Amino acid sequence: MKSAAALRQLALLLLLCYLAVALAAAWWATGARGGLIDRDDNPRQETRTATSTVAPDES
Amino acid sequence: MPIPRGLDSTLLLLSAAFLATNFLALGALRGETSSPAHWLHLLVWTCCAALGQIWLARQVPQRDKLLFPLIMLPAGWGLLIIDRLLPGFADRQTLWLPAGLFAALALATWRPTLQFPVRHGRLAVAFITALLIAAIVLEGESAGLPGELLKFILVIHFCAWLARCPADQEVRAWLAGQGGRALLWLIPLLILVWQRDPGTALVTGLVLLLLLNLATASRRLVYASLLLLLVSCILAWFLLDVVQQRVTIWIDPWSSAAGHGYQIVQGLIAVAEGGVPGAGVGQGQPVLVPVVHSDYVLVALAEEWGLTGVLVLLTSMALYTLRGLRIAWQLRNNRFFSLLAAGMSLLPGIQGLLICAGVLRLLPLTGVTLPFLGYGGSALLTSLLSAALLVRLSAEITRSPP
Repeated sequence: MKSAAALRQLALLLLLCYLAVALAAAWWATGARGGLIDRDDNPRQETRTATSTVAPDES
Repeated sequence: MPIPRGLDSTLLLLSAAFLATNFLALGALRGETSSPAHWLHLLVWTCCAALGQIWLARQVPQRDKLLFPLIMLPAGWGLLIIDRLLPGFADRQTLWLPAGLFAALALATWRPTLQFPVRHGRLAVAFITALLIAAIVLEGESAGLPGELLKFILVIHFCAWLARCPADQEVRAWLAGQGGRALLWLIPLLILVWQRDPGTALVTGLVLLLLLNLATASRRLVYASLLLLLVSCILAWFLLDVVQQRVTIWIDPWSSAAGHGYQIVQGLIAVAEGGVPGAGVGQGQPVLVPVVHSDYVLVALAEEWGLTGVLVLLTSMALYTLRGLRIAWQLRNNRFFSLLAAGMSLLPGIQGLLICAGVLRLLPLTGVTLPFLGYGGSALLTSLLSAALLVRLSAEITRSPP
């Protein structure tokens, strides 16, 4: 290996890339969460609506 | 930093406990806890983990002890997710795990393994390229095993070639005289692109470029590599409609959320639905995302295990790659071993990064599988073989101290 420094820089670069992916996951799972799950084209909305419109069992 | 004694066994036991709890929860949800067939995947994983650990402890005692637990967790998690999504597919994946692990253990144990690429690398590349062409001719577009093996063999052969690269001032002259050799790597990569698998070609190309830069440490080569990558991406944009489509939906998936952007939008919605804790195994609806078991398996994990699960997986992937680069650094007095360790850790590392970044809309989709976790027997086999080489190399550190 020509340079141990090149290996260290590569390790740091990869670590930063993994951090960027983790931040992106955190953004979609928390920051952008509300906007995404309320979208009209979220098929899970239909299940939720169907569940919430079922009349409660009064017996 | 030395690894505490028994940490590898503890990590495997923790993985087993995590998987057993989740298989139990999934069985309870399906009403199948008393069915022996439901426990088959966990049983196979447990046998593989136990036998692998015992075998490696006896045959390769000087290995890096963290590597095996770091690959067995995603391999088991993958079986669980595929079982949850498509039980029929999980049976096939469960067959590949012991087969791949058996081959990997043999490769990790047999010491002449490391001499093979130096002696027969060119022949191996030519043979796998012929297999790839035969697979394309016989099966159409899908390359499957030859495509995966080609990626693995190309990187090994490239490392053996780079190990002969001379000192700084002679690098350019030496590289200029190696033009013919470049065809050996370019032809298979072009075949992969031509059969509409630009993701595999991109992963392999990136790893080769990073290895070239590691071996020469030349700033000019870094810039030239980046320029080559840019030109390749522009050419791919003009020549392949699949690349144009992927870049367009990456820039704005929302405008075609019901069309080409459906998969990426539904994937992001699934990640959002999972939140931080996740819905729980079997409680989400990841099957609403097309092809979720293959390149979108991260989305299924994010919906049911949440951000917590994603962070655990990313940590294990990053740790595996960094341990591999550490092995490369420790073997720096042997150029071939050092480059091979870097190549074998970069291959799953870069592939994992590209697909995770694609699914989370940081980059355009590449269509490769998530190493060790995504569905695909040949992908699992190649990942296990690259891990086996890394384990073998880690045992060489004591033989060739820096």
